[in-house]
Amino acid sequence: MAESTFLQIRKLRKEYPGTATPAVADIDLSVGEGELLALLGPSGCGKTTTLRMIAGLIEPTAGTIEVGGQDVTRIPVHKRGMGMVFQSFALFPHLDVSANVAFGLEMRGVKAAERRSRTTAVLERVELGHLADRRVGQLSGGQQQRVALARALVVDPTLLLLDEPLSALDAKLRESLRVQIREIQQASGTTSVFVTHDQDEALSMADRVAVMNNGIVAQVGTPTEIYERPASVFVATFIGRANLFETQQVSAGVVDVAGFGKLSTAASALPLGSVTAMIRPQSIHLLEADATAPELLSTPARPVFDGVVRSTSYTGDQVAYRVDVSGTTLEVETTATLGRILSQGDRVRVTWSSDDLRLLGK
Amino acid sequence: MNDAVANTLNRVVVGAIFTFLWLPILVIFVVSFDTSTFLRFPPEGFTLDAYAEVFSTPAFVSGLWTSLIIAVFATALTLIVSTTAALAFTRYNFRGSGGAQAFFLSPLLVPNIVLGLALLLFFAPLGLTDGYVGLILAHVVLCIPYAVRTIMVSLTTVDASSEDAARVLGASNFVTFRRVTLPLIRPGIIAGGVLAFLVSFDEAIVSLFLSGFAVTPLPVALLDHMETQAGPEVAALSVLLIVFSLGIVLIIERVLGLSKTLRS
Amino acid sequence: MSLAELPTTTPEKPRPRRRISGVWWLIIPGALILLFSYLTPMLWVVRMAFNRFIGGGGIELTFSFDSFSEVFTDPYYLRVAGTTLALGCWVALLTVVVAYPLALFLARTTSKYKALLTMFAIAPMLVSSVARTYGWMVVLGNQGLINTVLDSLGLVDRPIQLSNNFLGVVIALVQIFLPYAVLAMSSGFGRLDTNLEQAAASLGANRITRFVRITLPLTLPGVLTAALLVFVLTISAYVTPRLIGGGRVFVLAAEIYDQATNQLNWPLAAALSMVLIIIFGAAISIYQILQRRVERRMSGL
Repeated sequence: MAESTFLQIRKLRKEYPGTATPAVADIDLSVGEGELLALLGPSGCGKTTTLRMIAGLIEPTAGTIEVGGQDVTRIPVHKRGMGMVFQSFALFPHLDVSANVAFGLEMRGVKAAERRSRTTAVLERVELGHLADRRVGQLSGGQQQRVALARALVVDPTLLLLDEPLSALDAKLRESLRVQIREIQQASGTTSVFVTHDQDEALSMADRVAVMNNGIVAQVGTPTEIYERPASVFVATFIGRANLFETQQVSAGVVDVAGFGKLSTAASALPLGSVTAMIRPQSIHLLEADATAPELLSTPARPVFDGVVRSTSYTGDQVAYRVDVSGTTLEVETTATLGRILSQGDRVRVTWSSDDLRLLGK
Repeated sequence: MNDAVANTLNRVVVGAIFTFLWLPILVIFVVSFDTSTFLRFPPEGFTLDAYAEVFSTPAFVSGLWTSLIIAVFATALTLIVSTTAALAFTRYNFRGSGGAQAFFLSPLLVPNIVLGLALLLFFAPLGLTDGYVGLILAHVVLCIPYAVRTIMVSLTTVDASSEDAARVLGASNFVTFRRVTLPLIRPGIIAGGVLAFLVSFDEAIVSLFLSGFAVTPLPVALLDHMETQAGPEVAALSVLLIVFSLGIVLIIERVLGLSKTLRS
Repeated sequence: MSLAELPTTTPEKPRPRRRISGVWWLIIPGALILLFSYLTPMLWVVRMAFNRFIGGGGIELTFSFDSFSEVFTDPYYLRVAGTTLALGCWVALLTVVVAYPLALFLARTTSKYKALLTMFAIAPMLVSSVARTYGWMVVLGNQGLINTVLDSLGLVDRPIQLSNNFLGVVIALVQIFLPYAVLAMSSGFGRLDTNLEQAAASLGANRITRFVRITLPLTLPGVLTAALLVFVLTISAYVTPRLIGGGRVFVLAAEIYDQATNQLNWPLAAALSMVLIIIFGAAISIYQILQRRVERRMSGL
């Protein structure tokens, strides 16, 4: 991406008194102008602490935060000019919708007339213009979250921070709001940081994803990079599902896996010796057991193995199989529209492209 | 014993307990309208003389004013120091928080008779007895535990992230408190204030130690009066006090109940 | 707000933990009041107990046990302490016995008037204790409600003595502290799950077994708390013993007041307060031991 860096985090650290390990351990992150970065990780990984340090709600133990080239680490929260959306919506229950949205403008001393016009405009943008006079308690969850988004955006924030903004909503609503938030964010061009524990959310909304675990950033990259080329076993298993083999790299790009023999893998910079090999269930293809076409002959670039279907799980658009191949169970996913659905005990052949078999460090 | 018998028995027992609980209060109402000036039952006839006598007894009238002045000032002072303290206890993690909380709630554990004595012994050399300042300070001590507890409960039920939201939007700590926290905990502050007012208004023992000739709150004036007389005027005054206390509570419940329905 | 408007100077020194020290400013106003009109006086009264009374309101600043030895050797003060202790025990016991069925009823009832009934049980708390004591004087007096009723039914020829004695004080205090006991019990009765009793019934336990084996053990902690609360309130009660006791029931609280304001023997009043505090402390210790034993038995179930 060509954008210049807008948010730069250096060696950011947070320790809480009385705890052995830091909540956030010297992380570095940069977010380009107009970019949406997702902080993704399991609960307790430090993602929310990081976001709250960016906002200024938590004081870092060490490290710096720069926004637009300016060090804001010591600037108090109310002078940072950011916008934030909270998991609990955090609307002011004693104020009506437009007063909620106008709050930040009022704090900035914006004149009443301009306040009204900007509030009306932003409410139109989130399609809530007709509810401006409602009390927030009378709104549905999805409407409340859109008010929260409008409240954060109306001040033209330097940064938009979203802390699990969708996790208090039900699944249907979540998906439609994902799209809406992403569109509004792109239209306004506001640099954004988005905290979530939901990988689908992170992959579908973010320009780039930073996967966090135990207070450190495990990997940063575009959604495809993260999914297709995970840097570690943690990333591979946290995002999507994966078949993992504990094995030995015997020569460059070749591993020896029990039951499969020597297998070629995608190029890797990992040293020889103990490694983990990973292949996604979608990268494994199933063939009829009696297929004899010449292109189905086993080659190092496209190995073929015989297997038996152990279980089938049909979810409408997808079929997930567990297939036994010489004593190892592989997870395989195919789109249901192609071919027939196999059942338990059916004999099959499995194959993959050696580029999809990746080597992972710890 | 079958269920029907047991249930009837249960009802009779509970009914008897309720009667025991309300008997002296009902009796006060009846006696307050009695024409007899002696302490006796049943009443001889109906009159409102006792109520007239309450308002023509100087000790009662000045006692009422004294009590109101003390209760108003004690409540105001209590609310200021309790709200700030409750804010510290619920919104900040700091070393010594637990100890400080225990200190603020501990006056509840001290027998009033001992606190009254302690205040007399300490305030007398300082010239703080028989005056408003000493009484108000003493009442604030008695009221703080109630107010701190009530306001803390109210603060813990408020979503702290709406305060964070206000800060991110540019509100300083003080503005956040005034514009967000204070409106949200207002029911708790009102409830704490009502409790403080009632505790102060009804306080007899500590006031007994600290009042003399110049400043005598109503409960003390009533006690002094009952040393010599206990006629229907005492009943009439008691009725007025009961109506006053219950009235305040009902009004507050009405007001707060109303605001609750507005918010949800 | 654009970044250009943000303050651009960074303080040279990082502010170390500003919030931590700042929070004390929220506590200091209340703490100062409590320090001046609560903690210091309480410490002062302890110190006062060791001064010597030299008659005529004079006090010698010294360190002696004279007042304590007077309290512990004079049979009169020992009797007063004994009366106070007995009053505390009787009132605590009877209040708990009376409050228990009411609290249990309020915890279990499914009536739509539950809130109203609860209010009826608690509301007398709001009635001035002086007023309620007066009510009992009318009920218990020689020409009061009870004696009039008994007399008109021809059950007694002379009024039975219900006031100006220990019995009258007990009756009045039980009623005055009843709402406190109900409140203390109710908060502990939350654990009472009617499903447990129904489960016991389905297993064939009869009403009495159910009560003894399920309800009573589950409610015991609340009962103990109520008993402690009422005991503590009773031994420091002043108004009711003075008015209903009619000068015949001598308790520590009245003695403390008399010594402090009439005899001006402040060291003795302070020493008597210490006795009250000691009884108080003993009650809390016994409560804690019992409570721990009950908890242990429950967790052992």
